[in-house]
Amino acid sequence: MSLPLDRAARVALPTTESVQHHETAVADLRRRRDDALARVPDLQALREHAAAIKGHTLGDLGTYLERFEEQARAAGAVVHWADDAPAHNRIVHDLLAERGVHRVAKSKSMLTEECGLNPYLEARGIEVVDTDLGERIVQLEGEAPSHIVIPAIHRRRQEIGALFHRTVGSPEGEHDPVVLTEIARQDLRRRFLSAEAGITGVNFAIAETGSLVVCTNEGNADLGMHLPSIHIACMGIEKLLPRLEDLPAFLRLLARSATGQAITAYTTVVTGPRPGGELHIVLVDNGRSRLLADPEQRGALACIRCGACLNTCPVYRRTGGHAYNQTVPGPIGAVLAPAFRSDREASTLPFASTLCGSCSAVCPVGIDLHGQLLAWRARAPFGGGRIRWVARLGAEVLARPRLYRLVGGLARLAWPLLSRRWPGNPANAWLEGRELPPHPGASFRSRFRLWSQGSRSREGSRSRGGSGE
Amino acid sequence: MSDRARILDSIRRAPAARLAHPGSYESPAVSPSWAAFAAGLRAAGGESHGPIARAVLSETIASVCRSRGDGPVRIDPALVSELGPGEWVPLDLEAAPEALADIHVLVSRGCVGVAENGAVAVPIVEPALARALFLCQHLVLVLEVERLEADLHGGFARFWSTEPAGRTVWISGPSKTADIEQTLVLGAHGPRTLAVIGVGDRDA
Amino acid sequence: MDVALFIPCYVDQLAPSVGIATVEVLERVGCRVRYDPGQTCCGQPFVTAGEWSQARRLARRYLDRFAGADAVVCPSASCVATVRRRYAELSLGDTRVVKEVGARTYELSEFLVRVLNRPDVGARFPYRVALLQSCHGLRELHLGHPSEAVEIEDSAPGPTEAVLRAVRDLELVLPDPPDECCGFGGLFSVQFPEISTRIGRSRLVALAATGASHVTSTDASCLFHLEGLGRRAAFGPRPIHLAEILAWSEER
Repeated sequence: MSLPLDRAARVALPTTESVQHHETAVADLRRRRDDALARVPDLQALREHAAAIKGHTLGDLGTYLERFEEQARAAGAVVHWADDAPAHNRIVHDLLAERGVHRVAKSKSMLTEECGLNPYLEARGIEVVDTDLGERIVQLEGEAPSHIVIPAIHRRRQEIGALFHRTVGSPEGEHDPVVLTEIARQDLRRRFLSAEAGITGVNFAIAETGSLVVCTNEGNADLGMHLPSIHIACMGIEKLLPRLEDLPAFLRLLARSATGQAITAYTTVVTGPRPGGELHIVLVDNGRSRLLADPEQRGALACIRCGACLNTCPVYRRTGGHAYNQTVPGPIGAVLAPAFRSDREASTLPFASTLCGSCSAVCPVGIDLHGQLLAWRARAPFGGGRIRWVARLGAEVLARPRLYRLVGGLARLAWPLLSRRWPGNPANAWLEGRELPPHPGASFRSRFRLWSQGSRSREGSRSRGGSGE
Repeated sequence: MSDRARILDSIRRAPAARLAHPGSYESPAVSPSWAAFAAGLRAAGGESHGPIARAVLSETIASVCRSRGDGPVRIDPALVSELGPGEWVPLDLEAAPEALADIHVLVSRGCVGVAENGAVAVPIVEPALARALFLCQHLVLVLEVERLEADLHGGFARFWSTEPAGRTVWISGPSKTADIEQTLVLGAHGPRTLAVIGVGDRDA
Repeated sequence: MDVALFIPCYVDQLAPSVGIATVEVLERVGCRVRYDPGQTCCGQPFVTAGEWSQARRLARRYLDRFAGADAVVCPSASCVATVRRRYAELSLGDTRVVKEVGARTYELSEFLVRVLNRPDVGARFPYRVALLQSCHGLRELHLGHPSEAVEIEDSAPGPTEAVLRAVRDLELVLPDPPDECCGFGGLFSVQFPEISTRIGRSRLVALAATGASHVTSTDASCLFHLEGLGRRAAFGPRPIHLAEILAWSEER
């Protein structure tokens, strides 16, 4: 009865050590986030303000998109529209092919991951180099990012050292992060200088001015934007903000929520191409307008991809991002899954939450993540499983106190049997890593009846757990 | 139907949920201090100098550059005239990217500083300057102390009240990464160090 | 004060002593306790499973049974959270009744502190006890201060901590991190047994690191999960429900 994510977790983080490493790394990000935000005196007002701006913008997205397009064009950019991932990939490839580009420096963009841009371009003879260090690591490893902010968070330094030795010729046995970062710097600098085009993601886009905002710590997006003469920026249509004045609230929340920094090292605002260069902006829908039309779920479009909900999630901490089998993992990924995918596995992801609510509590823009997970569950009970009849039966029993008493009595009779694993035992999933509690004895209701009938002997409360002696 | 028309049509068909824009953000009134800025910058891995008197700007720059070791120093041409006599080599705005990659220290001007996060706004309209800012090994920014704001809202308002939206980078500390086991490493792709020299006589 | 007792189905069947202890505590603080044997389940399992039509049946039953009560007290934060927070989303018709019954259904420590203003119930429990904070108690009922809520400046202990601090000779400790989920999650624990036990084991390690002899919670379900893990691994502090600690008095 276990669902796909449960099985995938055993593959993504197979050993106790790998789980612990991931758990510690991710929990550390949450701690940094707490420390950073605790120093913001106006935090609550700021979050409400940011959520209100997102709510407003999404409520009038068509107008803001048109305004953005108009302003970006006026500033000299070329704006392209892509309905879905294939359209996006085709547009980007055509732009590169028409200009005879063979080498591209790309900075972090979850959108291009979502669209599968790299394999698409590589299959057509274009070399794409991911330049964010974490993305470079997973690219060389031939895998997907496992975290939306720290792509290689699941990898140990030893693994990265061995990978660099294999792929970029670092000395064998070298796994000092400082040395490995320097090696990547030298290797990528060469590639930046020879790149013919830069592809970047977009953190925010400003309708009023047609500007793009890109945030990085490494400066890799800037090298990709300012070195080659062609800059292609790929963005989801939900990234818009009305005015430049609306941006600071988000910048103040984004990095603090993500890594505990007050702001990323570089926040670059570009409006139109630089003199003599080209700027192409690809606006991508790929399911977003469908999500917008879903009143229960549209809130997820406010996401600024800070990763705070991943970092605090007890589930994500122990599964790693790869177990989710999609670009965005964690609570926000589980919310987005059924909106963007139609397979059965996607409908089970909203169940991959204990509903502890910590995700909603850390979200800087106030997305009711666990509420949205519950809403998805209501549309596909049990993740579309075939055990609905058990639920119906259960409800029939619970709706009839006498029947409930009878079934409860039988279950307690069968307790010793239920406590052991045997094929067909309904308690098997529970027994996988746990024992059942000891035999509870008589039910509360029968004890209460006896008790209130006169004796009022208080022996009951000693029978379980209570003995401190 | 074009993709554009399809997307806009699909958005317009979504059930309306018109919510008012919340308006301008009222941030708590805090007066900016150089000390707060210096702390913000330090947290971002950068170092601050000053505030210093204008008369000693040249020698402060020279001393910071010397402390970065040997190598070519280039000055933002817009700044050279302010520095007075000295062997300042202005950044060649026509230089090829490969040549810019050899710059050891670049000295440029910051327009507005933000105390809460140590960020400094640098306009990047000149392509060579934009490249040099990220290709140099060490970066030094000169900031008028008077052009300091307490938070980013103030910083944005100050900067964009006089500048067009244009092309600008807000820089907070040196280039950095923590992508390998969360170990912070300065100098990921861009400058390995960042120094901001405060000029003027507002509080120290 | 007259109090209607809501003993959730799983407490009734699997942890009857928690129900008895709840009655004892309430009587000790002077409440007249009434128990209606027509009650069964609040519907929480069906809410979390997405079986909302079944959840509605049970929710309506709950509302019928408790509509007239001045106060309903329940020794399970997640069931109270279901009644108070989730019923509103089930479209149950009369929203006034939903709201009123929800507002008058209390978790035990919440009732003692927020309604009776009696955090001290005269209990004595001479042990070091680690508190496993219930996620629903923490975030849906605000029985404590979630560690991620750095925007809230109020640092006074919530009701659960307050009643434990009032127990004589009890040394209260919090694990690190102080409030991560135990990994139970009801249906989650059987749909994702591997992840559920991974989370639970790491909580158990954190709880054991406090050196506590016991672990307590407002929710017996979380304790079942930890107890089951602890018994399998022969490891970890001994689970005891909050009501059982509060019922533990001098005379024993």
